[in-house]
Amino acid sequence: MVSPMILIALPLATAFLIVLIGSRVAARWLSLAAVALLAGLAPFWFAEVLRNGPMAIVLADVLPPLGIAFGLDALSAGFVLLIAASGLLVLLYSVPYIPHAGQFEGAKKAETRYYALFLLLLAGSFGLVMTRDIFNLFVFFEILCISSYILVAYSQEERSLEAGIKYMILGSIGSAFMLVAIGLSYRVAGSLAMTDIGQALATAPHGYALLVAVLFTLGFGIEAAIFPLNTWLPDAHSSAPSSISAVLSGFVIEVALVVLVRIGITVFGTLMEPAMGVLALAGVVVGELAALGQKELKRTLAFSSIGQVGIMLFAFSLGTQSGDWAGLGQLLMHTGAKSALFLVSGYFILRTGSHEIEAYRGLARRMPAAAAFFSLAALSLVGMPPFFGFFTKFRIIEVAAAARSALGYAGIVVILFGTVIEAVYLFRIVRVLYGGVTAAAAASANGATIGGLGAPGSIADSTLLSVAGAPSSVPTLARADLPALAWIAVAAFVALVLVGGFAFPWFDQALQPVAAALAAL
Amino acid sequence: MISVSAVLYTTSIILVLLGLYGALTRKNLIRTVISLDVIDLGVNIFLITIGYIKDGRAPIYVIGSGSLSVQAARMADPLPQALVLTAIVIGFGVTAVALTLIMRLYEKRKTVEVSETRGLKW
Repeated sequence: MVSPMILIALPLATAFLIVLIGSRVAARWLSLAAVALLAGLAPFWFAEVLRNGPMAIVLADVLPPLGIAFGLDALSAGFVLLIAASGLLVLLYSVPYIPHAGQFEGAKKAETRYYALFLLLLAGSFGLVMTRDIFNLFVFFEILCISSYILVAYSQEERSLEAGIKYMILGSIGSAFMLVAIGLSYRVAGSLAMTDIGQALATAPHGYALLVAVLFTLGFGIEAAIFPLNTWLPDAHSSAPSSISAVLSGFVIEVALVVLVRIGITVFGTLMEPAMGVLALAGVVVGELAALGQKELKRTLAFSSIGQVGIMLFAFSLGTQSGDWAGLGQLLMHTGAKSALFLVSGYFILRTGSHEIEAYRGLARRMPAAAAFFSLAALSLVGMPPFFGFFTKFRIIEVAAAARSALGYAGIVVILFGTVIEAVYLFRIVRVLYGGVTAAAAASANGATIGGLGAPGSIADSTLLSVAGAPSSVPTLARADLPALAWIAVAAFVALVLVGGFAFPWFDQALQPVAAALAAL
Repeated sequence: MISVSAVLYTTSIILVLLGLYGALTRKNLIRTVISLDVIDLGVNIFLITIGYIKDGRAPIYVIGSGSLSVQAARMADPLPQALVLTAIVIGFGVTAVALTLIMRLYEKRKTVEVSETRGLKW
């Protein structure tokens, strides 16, 4: 079996090779080949870890504490599988999508850099879940962050540059906090290995451990978009190219969240759990309520990610193995559903040229498959049976009830409340997609096509048309289409939420060792 | 007598707080980036101070001047220094990327002031 170090080495090497070659075609195929190879190997590592237990990775024959500590347990292997698979699917989508995403000078040249940065982002994520050394954690975290800052600003429009800068400023402050926390941990433990630090902090003064815990939470919480450290997320996730939004919402915040939980549990014991639970619930309320007020599709989805992260964190903060289990289920569901939603919204934006939900009125008639994919993923995100989301949310509520604590009961109320709001705003979007064209919308569409004839006449015209349900009243789609390749990616993500619902017991079984690994730390 | 490390710790904390204040209040994006660098500087001094010992020497074993354990007791901890080296490189990278993004924004808007931008208020 190949050493899992290839997960870091191959994307890094390919990224720099791509930049050196500097050809768009080579960049596409090399990155696809590299990620496909990793996605193909990932299930084997996962199976091997399940069979033989955690795998220690020794680099250059130097054993810890002197060597660089890496390890692959069920949790890391599960995440490796998730990251590699979604990375591959999003790359498939990117190949036709990215030429349309950046309409700036030198965009063709920048496209090779897109693939290089995407691979760096993957390398950072893989490293983050595999490292057992707190300083390497910082290094991989920075690789992940810096590549995502640049990718958010990829289209070089004003709003994405702003979002990238804002993300970067908050991210840099976060990593400074993390570095201080690392210094404090090293000072007390004399080692950078996570297990040593955990032992040392357990005997350290309570205030000292708490300070380190708070600094770590600040550092990672910014990336994991925990309330109230999430102000950058709506801008960044909505202004990034849609493929990147799918990655950022699909697994980057989740990886940061799980690493935070992992550090929280390995290193700080039960110190942080109640505080985390409260923050998580606040995040659910704030995220979902803010999503309700948005007019842009991707902003709505971005705020919904804040709410969803809150739900996951709440499950993790219960501090039981079944809580972790339920949280991981929600995480897997969210990756599938939110990636699909972002990829489809990228398609909507591409075809209509607008970010506003209102511009998509009646779109289902022109692109039935896209609208169907969107609706299925939305239903799962809300938690409608028989989709994946129903089972995962149900499980979280079950676990929260079993906790028999005030926080648990509060969590049930908040999650149900969040679900209702989620249903309101997601169904509103679905209704717009399948709805008829209103007079005003049709008038603007008609006015655009006819070239702005007499306004009263065109309104009367289009009212008639929309009553008759004529296809010409649907928004005109002048922009480029995406080939079937992109739809494979969307379909695969949607398939995850469908299969996850119908084969929930099987998924549940597969997640159990992963949850055990998270709880056992 | 105030110890050197106390001075260094205090300096680093003051630098971090100054930088934080600057990063959160400055309207000029270039100044925000400078503030981030000041935070980084404070953090780096903090990390170095962790490995500081009074009258410490470079962690190089010299043959003929005492046993390893005697020499080691007077060596400064090299690990924080290695960490700071890495952190400096990362900080440099972040600064370079930040300035590039700001430059691109300036090309569009002809200003680096936050107050004139729509989305950058927080």
